[in-house]
Amino acid sequence: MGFLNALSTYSFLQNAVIAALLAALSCGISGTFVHINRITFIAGGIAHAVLGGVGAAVFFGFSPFFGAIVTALIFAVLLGIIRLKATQHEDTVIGAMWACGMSAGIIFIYLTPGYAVNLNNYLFGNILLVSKSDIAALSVLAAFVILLSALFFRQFKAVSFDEENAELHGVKASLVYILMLSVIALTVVVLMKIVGLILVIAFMTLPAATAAIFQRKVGGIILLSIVLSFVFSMSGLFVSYTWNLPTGAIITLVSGTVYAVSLLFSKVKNS
Amino acid sequence: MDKPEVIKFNKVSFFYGKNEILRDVTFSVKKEDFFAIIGPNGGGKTTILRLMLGFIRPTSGKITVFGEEPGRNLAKIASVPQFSSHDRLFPITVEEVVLQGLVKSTSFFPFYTKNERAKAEDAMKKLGISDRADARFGDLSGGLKQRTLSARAIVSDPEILLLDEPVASVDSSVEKDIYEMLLDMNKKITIVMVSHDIGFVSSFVNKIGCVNRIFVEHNSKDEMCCLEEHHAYSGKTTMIHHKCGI
Repeated sequence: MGFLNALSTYSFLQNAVIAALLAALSCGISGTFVHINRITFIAGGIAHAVLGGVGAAVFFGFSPFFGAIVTALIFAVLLGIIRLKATQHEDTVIGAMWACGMSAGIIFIYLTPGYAVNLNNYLFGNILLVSKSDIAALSVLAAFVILLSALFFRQFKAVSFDEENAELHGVKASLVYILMLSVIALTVVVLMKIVGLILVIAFMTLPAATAAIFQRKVGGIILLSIVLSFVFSMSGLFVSYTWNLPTGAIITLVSGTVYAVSLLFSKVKNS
Repeated sequence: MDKPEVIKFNKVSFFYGKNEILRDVTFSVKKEDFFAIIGPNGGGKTTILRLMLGFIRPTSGKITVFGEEPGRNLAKIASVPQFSSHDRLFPITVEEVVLQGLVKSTSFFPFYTKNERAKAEDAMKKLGISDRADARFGDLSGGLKQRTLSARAIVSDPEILLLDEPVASVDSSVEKDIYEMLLDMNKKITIVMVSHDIGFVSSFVNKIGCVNRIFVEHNSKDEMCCLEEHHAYSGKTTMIHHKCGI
């Protein structure tokens, strides 16, 4: 059965398309802020440390999704404070939290009786396993991401470009910065379900970096990277459905290839 | 001569950790002064600006800005930082940079009001950068970046303008241009600028202070002339050492 035919028949594929759309909306926005602030490392840190919360949730018997949200937000605040206060070794501290959070998760999952959890689902995600109730939860998260970043768009932009100037005009720069990281953290949780924690970093960087080659304003980068994320996800879905390959990895490779080609294109055009 | 004092430093000392940066600095800036603070790198110039803005507090002594503690009167004071501190690749146009001079803690949603756009347009016109409104900030030359950041500073109609090394990274023809632009703004706005380089400064400003941990003010025109003469044959730093003994 062809991809389009299957799409109209199978509800799991329809769910996947909706999930991809929600992911595109969230990561188009958050990825752009990651890109303009050059904080890929912080986004990666949040993404990997989230496994600690997922593991704890599994071990103590509550919802891993809830565990992921709480941990992502905690790490967003912690990393924000480190970023704002630390004068040196910032990258070492972030790297340590990245690795330790992940290790805690592995140990919790290892200790969970019966080993009912498939670690791979969190590490690599699976867009084809997204359920109706997952969609509902992802929608709420995406709504938060969109609403908060629309509301604080000007302040996010001001703090990203020139923190001191924003502070001088009465903007609470530290709080706004941490709020921005929290929006990024919520996006990490949305993406965890779809591409998995390990590949979140690809989603957070590649569409926005590609869009930034063609757009000169933050708003333009956001809109284009939403479109790009969705197109990347759809093509990944198509390839992985047709040839039975892991979706997250295919989406990442598609994104990476388009980014490389765009970069090459712009270099050739400018020279 | 009897214009009100807008900024007062009274025996201000500042320590960064164990390092003494400023010792017993006392001076005042009057309304519509064009005040230049000159000193070597690491001499405490930028510290003075940061103290005026309230980003840092003095270790001892007292600072007042319009009679209040620094940081209280933010709407009346604007600052032009060194443009080299900004990310060259940041996706932002000249107009948007200028509009950031109007951002507030209550600026919600991505849209600007008509009034804000009109003010930005006006500030860009004053600095002669209206035709660059849609240019990418990072692509501009040093002089135009300086103009853009100056437009951002004046867009909110401040009464005091602080400038950190406004001519540090531009060539000397642009330098003169920038000073003339500042002189024009000085008709309405009090200006305090710091610089490590005496350059053309002395012919434009009405007060010069030299800082290298301690502060020496040169009020009289004689002393300023003297500074210029020395500049002709000696190195800038030697000149400052020579004149102020610091």
